[in-house]
Amino acid sequence: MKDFNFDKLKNIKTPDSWIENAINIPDAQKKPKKVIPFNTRVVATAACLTFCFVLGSVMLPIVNTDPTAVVRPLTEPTTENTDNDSQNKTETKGYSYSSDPTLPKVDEILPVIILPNGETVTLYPTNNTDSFYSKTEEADIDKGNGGSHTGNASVSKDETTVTLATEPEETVTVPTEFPTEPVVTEPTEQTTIATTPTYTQPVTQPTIRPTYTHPVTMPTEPTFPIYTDATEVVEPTEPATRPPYQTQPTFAPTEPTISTVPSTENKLFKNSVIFYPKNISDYTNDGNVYCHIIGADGREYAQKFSSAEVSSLKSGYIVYSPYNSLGTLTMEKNKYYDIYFYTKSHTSKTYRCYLGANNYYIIE
Amino acid sequence: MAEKLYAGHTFEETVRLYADTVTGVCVMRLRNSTDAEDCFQNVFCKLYEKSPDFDSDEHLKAWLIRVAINECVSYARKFRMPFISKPPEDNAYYDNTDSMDMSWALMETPLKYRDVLYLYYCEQYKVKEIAQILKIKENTVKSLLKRGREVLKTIYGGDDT
Repeated sequence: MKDFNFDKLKNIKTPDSWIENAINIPDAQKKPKKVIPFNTRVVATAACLTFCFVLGSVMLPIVNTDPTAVVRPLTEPTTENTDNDSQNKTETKGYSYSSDPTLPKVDEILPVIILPNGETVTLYPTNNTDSFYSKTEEADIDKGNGGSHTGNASVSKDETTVTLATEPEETVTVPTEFPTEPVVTEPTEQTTIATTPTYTQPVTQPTIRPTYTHPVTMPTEPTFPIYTDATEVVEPTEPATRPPYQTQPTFAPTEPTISTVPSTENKLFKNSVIFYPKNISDYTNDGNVYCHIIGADGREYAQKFSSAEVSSLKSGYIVYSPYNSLGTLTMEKNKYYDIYFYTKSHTSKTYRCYLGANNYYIIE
Repeated sequence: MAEKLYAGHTFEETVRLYADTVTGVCVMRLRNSTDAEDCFQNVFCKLYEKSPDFDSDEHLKAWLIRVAINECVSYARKFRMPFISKPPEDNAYYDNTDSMDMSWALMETPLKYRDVLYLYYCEQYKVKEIAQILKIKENTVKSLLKRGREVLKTIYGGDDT
């Protein structure tokens, strides 16, 4: 056995290299430290801000609470889109664009032209198919059940009879290019009977009205009793034709001409069509709508439209104003046209438009 | 700029004066020369960076021992050092064979006895001072010393003289 003595437990000697290294610590500490421009906190903060920005950019369009949005949910029906829309008479409540101070007034965004006589005229958007709209919306509504009368409180068009002055083969092409020097002429009697609406726009400044230069031989005005309870003749009224908050409003042409249907596609649409729900009871909309129109031949005439192209969304119908949309839509008379609105949940809403005895074109 | 003094000593003087103390704590704790050297350097790096004010040499020495123990604990925890039962192969810091054997026996004792035995027998600290440095009660130090001696005898295999 070894002798055990605690005195043998001596201190451990430190190697000289350890001491030398420790002595050099101050010299090593005095060397300038490498400057790190971005420490962890700065990088984390920047990443967080970037993430929030990206997240906001993604979420805001989804939430879409912008009051300037053209399409409003049904809970907020708009009343500003039509100047003389008889169907809006019952909609006294809802969102009012005119009360929104953030939106420009119509007068502020309307262009002004100088006529040859020096007179300054403010251009207001007009619709040369007012009479058509009136006839369409008043007369021809398919309730989505194969033409049967299902009744619709919001539309209430099924008991009307519209007298239409139509030319069976007449086609009216709406030019989209605004003439540099519009000619304001008095509408002829024939054309007035056929196409000029009887409504008056509530504007104080002169409005350039479309004038048809071609004398159109109009037949006697046929009467189209719609459904079974047609009892009264309703004067054509102007539907919602002018979205008041388009940044670049489209104006009605000053010289509409009668021409053949152009075959050129991918041009800008200029006019509006009113669509009624195919099935009112199923009608809901969250304000995020996308639509395309399928013609009578089953062909999709237009590409998918965004919600901004639908000028107004009423409780009972949709005024479709495909401003700045590309494509050509030719709507023939006596045919139904369906418009499908796709929501974000991929549920489609079907609307149907019947043009009656008129051909209608959304061209250019 | 005037050089910082540690209880009246310069940094170099402090290193040379207390190097063996710090080395002993690190070697006893880590039982590896390489790891002990790292902790040794870290202890004096902290001394230079912190530059605390010391009242006396004892205060400075106690501070270094305390920091060395903490550094060894952090080092072992950081690298999850395994328990090494064999005696250290690096004999550079042993004076002779007897010291190495005693040191090896001390390193073989459980950790809770090791610090107390080292401070008591190598650093010649009293029980009260050991209690202050390790922040434990004096009676605990006494108990640890008594049990540590018995363990050390068993490991070393010698007769108590």
